[in-house]
Amino acid sequence: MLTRLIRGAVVAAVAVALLALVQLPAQAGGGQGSGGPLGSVQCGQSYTPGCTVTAGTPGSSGTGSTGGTGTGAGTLAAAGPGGGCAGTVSKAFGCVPAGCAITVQTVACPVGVAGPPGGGAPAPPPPGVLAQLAVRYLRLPDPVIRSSPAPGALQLTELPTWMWVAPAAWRPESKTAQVPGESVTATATPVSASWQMGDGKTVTCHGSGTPYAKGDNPASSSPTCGYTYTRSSAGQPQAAYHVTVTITWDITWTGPGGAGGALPPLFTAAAAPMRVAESQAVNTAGGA
Amino acid sequence: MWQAYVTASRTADYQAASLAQYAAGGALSVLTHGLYQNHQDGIVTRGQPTFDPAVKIVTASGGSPVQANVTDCADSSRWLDYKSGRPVGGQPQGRRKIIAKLQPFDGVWKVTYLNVGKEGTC
Repeated sequence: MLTRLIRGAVVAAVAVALLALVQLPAQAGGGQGSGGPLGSVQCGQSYTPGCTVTAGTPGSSGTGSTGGTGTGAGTLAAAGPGGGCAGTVSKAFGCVPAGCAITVQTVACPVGVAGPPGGGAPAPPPPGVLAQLAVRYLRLPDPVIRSSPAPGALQLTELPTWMWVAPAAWRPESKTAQVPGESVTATATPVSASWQMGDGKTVTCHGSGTPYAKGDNPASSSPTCGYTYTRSSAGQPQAAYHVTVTITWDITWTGPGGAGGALPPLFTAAAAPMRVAESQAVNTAGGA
Repeated sequence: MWQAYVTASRTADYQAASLAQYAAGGALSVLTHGLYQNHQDGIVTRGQPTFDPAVKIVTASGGSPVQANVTDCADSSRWLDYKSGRPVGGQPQGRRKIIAKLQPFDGVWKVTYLNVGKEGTC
């Protein structure tokens, strides 16, 4: 009995020491105040994903994309203006809480988010909270706009435009958050691509779109994701339509004992100019 | 965008459709998940923040605007988190530097990148 008590005390002491080391956001533990209305969107301090990395370099791609605006590749902007990271700043993942180890697959933290009120050993956080931690470290690829005719080439009115994003980037991304005794995996799955064509029309595709292949009939429409312009872009800025694509990623998580659920979606976006010329009717009837 | 966020934050409405009218991509992820965290924690907000934005327009070679970079300073001293009808204690009061990037979506400018700094950064 005494041994058990001592062991329990030692475990609790170690756990408390580790808790002091790892200060995950207080909001998640509940009952410890808040960071104010902007605390929940401050980079580096909350479970908010998507704000520790900047967007890609505009105009650097030969495919005509002006760069993604998602959470994926890009240069690191530290952990927000003026810092704010209570941990270490990882080049790939942004602000990582002190004591946590992060890889592409996992973020592992040595203790729970907060101890129960009234003392005692810290309990593992609720799996839903751990899921939010995993989501924060998901890194979704920035979409790159592809089309046929290509974004840099001239489109023609009445000629079907095929649109797609790289199929290799259209796949689920997962991250596992681990604390002692508990592990939760969050998965982001791309579900839809909303294309704003720049002429006021929006096309929603439920997939990456079909890449145009040599041998495909250019007069045919994309079987999965296409659009046909009816007006020239001559009157637009730069004489081009500003095309954007927004990808919605559904977020699900699975945890211990069959626990699981959904979290709000994540979004990535990209833009590209498309020049569209009026296709002149060719009269083959030999008239006039 | 901030007014849409402030309004949504009064009920922690992370599904507010107005958010997507002003934000897209990573910035929309930030706002959505910030509100979701408040929803999970039972936190709503009252009051009103003030901002002090400075806008720098980035133009393409032909002169048309393709991007706007905004540096902002948010004062949330009159905008507070509430839980169970009471203000949450210990909320940081300092002003926060905010960096945002906007891009046109079919003629509508939306925030696509958002980086909110810690209190006391401006």
